[in-house]
Amino acid sequence: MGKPRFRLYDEESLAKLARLQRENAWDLEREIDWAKGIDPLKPLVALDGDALLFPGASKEQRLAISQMMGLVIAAAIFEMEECLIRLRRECWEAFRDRMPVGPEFSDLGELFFEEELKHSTAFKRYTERYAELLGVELSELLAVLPSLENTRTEKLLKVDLRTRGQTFWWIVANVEQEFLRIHHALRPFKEQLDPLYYEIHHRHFEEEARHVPFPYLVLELLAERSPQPFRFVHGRADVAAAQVLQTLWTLSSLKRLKGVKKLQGVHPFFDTLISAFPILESMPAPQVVWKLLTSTPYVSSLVNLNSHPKVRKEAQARGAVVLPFPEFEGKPLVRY
Amino acid sequence: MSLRQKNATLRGLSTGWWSSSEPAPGKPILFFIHGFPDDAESWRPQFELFEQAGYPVIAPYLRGCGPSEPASDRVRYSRDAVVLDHLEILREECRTWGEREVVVIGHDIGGMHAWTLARMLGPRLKGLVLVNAPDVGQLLRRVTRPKQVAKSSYIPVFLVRGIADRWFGPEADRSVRFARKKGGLTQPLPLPGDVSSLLEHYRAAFRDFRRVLFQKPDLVRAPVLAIAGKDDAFLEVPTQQEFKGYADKVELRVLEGNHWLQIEQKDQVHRLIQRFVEGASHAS
Repeated sequence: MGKPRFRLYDEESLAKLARLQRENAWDLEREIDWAKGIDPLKPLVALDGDALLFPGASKEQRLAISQMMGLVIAAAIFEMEECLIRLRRECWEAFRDRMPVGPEFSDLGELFFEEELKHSTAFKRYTERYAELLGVELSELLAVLPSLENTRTEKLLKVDLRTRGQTFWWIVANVEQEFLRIHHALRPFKEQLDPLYYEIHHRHFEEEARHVPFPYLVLELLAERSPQPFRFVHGRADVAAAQVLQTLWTLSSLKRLKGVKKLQGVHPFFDTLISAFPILESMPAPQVVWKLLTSTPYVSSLVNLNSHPKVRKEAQARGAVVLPFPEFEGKPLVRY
Repeated sequence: MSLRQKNATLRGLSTGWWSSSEPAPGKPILFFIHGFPDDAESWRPQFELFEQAGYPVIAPYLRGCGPSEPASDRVRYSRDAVVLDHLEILREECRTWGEREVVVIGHDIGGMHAWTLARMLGPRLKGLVLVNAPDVGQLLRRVTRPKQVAKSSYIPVFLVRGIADRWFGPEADRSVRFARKKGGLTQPLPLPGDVSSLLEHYRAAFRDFRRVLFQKPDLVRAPVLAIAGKDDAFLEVPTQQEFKGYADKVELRVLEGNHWLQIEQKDQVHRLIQRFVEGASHAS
């Protein structure tokens, strides 16, 4: 591994990064064309040949699956980012004052949280508008989408943070990479996707690209300054803990999609989606889990650290235990 | 412009210090307080640079060190007594320079005298700079940090009269070299000679521990710049929380380095102090 570009006490590089972030930050209201609305006939994400877990799905079903996956991704993003904001005290403020932190790093941290709030607002607003389009309350739509607030996962993360654990920030590091990956996956299909959805992802990507160093800086601080013996234990165990928590949360989030059945008859979108469920239900559960871990676009790359070699290398360089996962199969995407 | 060593009898005792002869008008006084086992020469790499830039600089020899005569009354080593000596030096110099704002800069145990002087100066204080230098209260409160306790293991030895005095007395050179080597000093620095009287500063500070621990110190309202070495052999790196109740606005800088940052990281420390003094720092 080469020398990292950003070091915790390197005021010049951190100040430059903060300046870059400030100068290039986008405005939620002025720079996203909310007036363009949502095109219900357009997909939100590109799919692979099997339409994720629905091989043989019809054209209408593929469209609905694409739109649902787009909403799942949007919800996963705003849930994770809202979780960051909710746990701000535990994951940032609690140790910012208790550990030696220079002004530039402190500044970067404030910017990081400011921007994450903006991102979650953007994706949540899009989801709200989609709910209106579908004729459901936002809460009804959110009931079938990923959720992190008050879950066991969030509670476990809080406990880990209280002992200066690193699990949370390893998840953030991994998720930041995943956000960039999602944008790269969507970009070739830009003209075919819902323009507003793509625009939000594009804006999100711009700022997330600049966020990438931040979790590693926090991890460096925790690795250097957390009290022993927590430092040793967390240093070794927390990547594995992150992998486990992330996998369990992702799988349980997808389970929530079953709740779509309750929305039968509310809108043709839900009916079409429900009509595709038998394809998934006909697959043996182990096969489904295997596919989710290895070859389902947008899902496998989130849970399988083999899909993010940079994060994996960083973890190994820091002496962390990385759980072995099956080989990641990045499948080519096609238009929905 | 040139630096000159001055001597005067202040409050009944001969006291020595370095100062500028012709500082530029309008610039604040930079008051450099050395630590242990050093003398005013430990600040030379810094005060020479600032003096050349026209700043009025003062770098006293702490009581009992170099030309500053040791005192038979141990009270003269207390922080309250040393600050009066320093105020006298300032008064002496300001007769020529006129009243000016002061930036107090301390290293090692010079830091605790720097805090005391900063509190006494009130509105005249433009800023406080601490280089590898916690206040006594901050250091005492680090008793919950095992690494700091290990790093400070020499202090109890210093507090007992008779043991360390032999090591740092007339034959101090070897002990001073050892301490400096442990603290990561690789650049040449003149040996200060007998520094056994500097141990009295430690003893006086720790005699005062009840006041330090249980009385709330006066808040320093001027900006504070704290510079710490990441690998300081004697001190753990401070945190923002440690300064709560001590100062309003603190800029914390951690540098790659050990205990003598003002010498080993001379240019970086100079740049940080200069920026701080010119009011462009984050804490201002």
